[in-house]
Amino acid sequence: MQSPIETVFDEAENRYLKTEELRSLGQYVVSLPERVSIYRILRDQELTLMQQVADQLQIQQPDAHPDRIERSLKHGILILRYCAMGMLLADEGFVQSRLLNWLSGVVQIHNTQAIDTATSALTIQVLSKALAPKQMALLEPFFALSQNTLSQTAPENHLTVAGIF
Amino acid sequence: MTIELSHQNPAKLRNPKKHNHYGFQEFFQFNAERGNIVDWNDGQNVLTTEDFIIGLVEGLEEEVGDASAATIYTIGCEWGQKDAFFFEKWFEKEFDRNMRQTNLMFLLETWWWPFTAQGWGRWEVDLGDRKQGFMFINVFDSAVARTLGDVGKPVCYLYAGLFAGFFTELVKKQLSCIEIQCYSMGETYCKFLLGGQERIDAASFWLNEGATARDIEKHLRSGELR
Amino acid sequence: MISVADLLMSDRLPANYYAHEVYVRGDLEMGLLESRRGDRLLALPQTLVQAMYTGLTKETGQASKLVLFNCGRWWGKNFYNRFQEELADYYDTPLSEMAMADFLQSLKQCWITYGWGKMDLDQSYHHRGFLVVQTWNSPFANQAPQTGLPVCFLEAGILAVFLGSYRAKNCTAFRRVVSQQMPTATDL
Repeated sequence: MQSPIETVFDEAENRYLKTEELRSLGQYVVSLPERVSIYRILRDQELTLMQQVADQLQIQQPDAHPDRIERSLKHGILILRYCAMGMLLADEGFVQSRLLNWLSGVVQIHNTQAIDTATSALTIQVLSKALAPKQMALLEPFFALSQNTLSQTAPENHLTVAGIF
Repeated sequence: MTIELSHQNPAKLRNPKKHNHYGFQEFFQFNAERGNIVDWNDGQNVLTTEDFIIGLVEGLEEEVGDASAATIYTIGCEWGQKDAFFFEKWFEKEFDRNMRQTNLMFLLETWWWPFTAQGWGRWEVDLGDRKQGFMFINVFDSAVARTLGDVGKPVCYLYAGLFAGFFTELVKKQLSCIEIQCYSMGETYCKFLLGGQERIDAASFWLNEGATARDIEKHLRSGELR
Repeated sequence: MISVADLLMSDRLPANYYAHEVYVRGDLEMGLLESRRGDRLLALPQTLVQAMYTGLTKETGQASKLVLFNCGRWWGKNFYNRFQEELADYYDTPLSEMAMADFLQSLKQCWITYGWGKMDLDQSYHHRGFLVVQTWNSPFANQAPQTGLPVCFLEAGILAVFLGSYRAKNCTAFRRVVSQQMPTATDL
């Protein structure tokens, strides 16, 4: 998926936009105030929301090392920030290429799939309480994309400093 | 087994007949899955920092000593020659007309545009003396000179070779090129002389005698050959 | 308890420094490319990569492989310093304190964004004291003459210095030689 705004620029010299292209642009414009207000909520409440995730994660995973929990929370915050921006632009490609292609490698190297899945589920749970269902519907595809990409990363038997030689 | 890379630029697939495509984001297509970069003309590109230039120059100096300048010039010639073939192919495909029946200035501007997008600097061609068998090319922000800094002598052998190789192929006549003024000599831009071997030898002689680019221009325009 | 506010002390979380959308910038007016730090970048077209092989062979014959390797070493040495500075600046931590996994992930991502193909490190031979670096989709292999011999000398040179410097300065775990597998054009 490409940002609806971006595709508009492609062919200005050759033709006017078709009815369905104008319609999809119109839909995007109509949805924009809602997108901006969701973005504001996420921006202003990031700390509170993610603290709730952190608290629940520690209850859920009492044996996990604090470093792993911290790392996973950082991944969770990055995902939230990129999904917020992707939602604002209505551009899944943005989240995929800027964050997920890279993050999937990081998750693999640190072997944090399991805990990241838990963090992600908790984030969605917390967001569902903070946002109206209509708002959540705009945000959900981006989280689905992240969960989907990260769940496909197979744990890798990889180099660690301790394990090389 | 050889493998054919599928060089297809998605922006181009969307809009194949667009000619003003040198906006940076359109010219390069990054394929993160393969780790490859393909340009508008379906050529593969490799990004480097200035360290590549340093590597080439230092590595060669260590291995072949004084011959390094000539070696880099040869690489440039090969580059220009190969690029002429590559250019002919994409030019005729893109503009649907024969390269040799195209306005020369337009043709040359079109050739250099990708180099601009690829970060090799701007150029200016002076065709005023072509009837006498030579011409001047100015390059602003030469990647080589800017990397090496003020070293007190011309350093852009790669560009000189590129011009020699390209124009030799273009006009089907053996041409050579020499840099007669360089950013690395404290000048603001680099100046190249392109012509037959005799003239280039003469310019090289004058340059060694301490002549400036302006002196060399004067000598050549008055028809001197040493 | 973990405080998210503490995690976000400087309100920024380093992510993918080498994402090409933000890493590479172009100024068409000036004919310049630069990195997000403002360092100059160059895009080498395939005709130049091909010319390096044919030009060097013309001038230096059999020695061209050695020459390429040596150019790669110089290239790698300088590039390594730059890479190190970039990462230290971005993560706001000296390289010596950076997790090896983050270092390697950045290196892999850098490789991709520079269009050098993909690379990975294989530790299967670590008990024999060397590290195999595998690269795929190498533009160098792709543009080199198809001779069936290894051709990625530039990459080998870069990696030798790159991983060698990391070992020497920062990571005692790389105890012995760092070796590279140089894929041949036929491997592709």
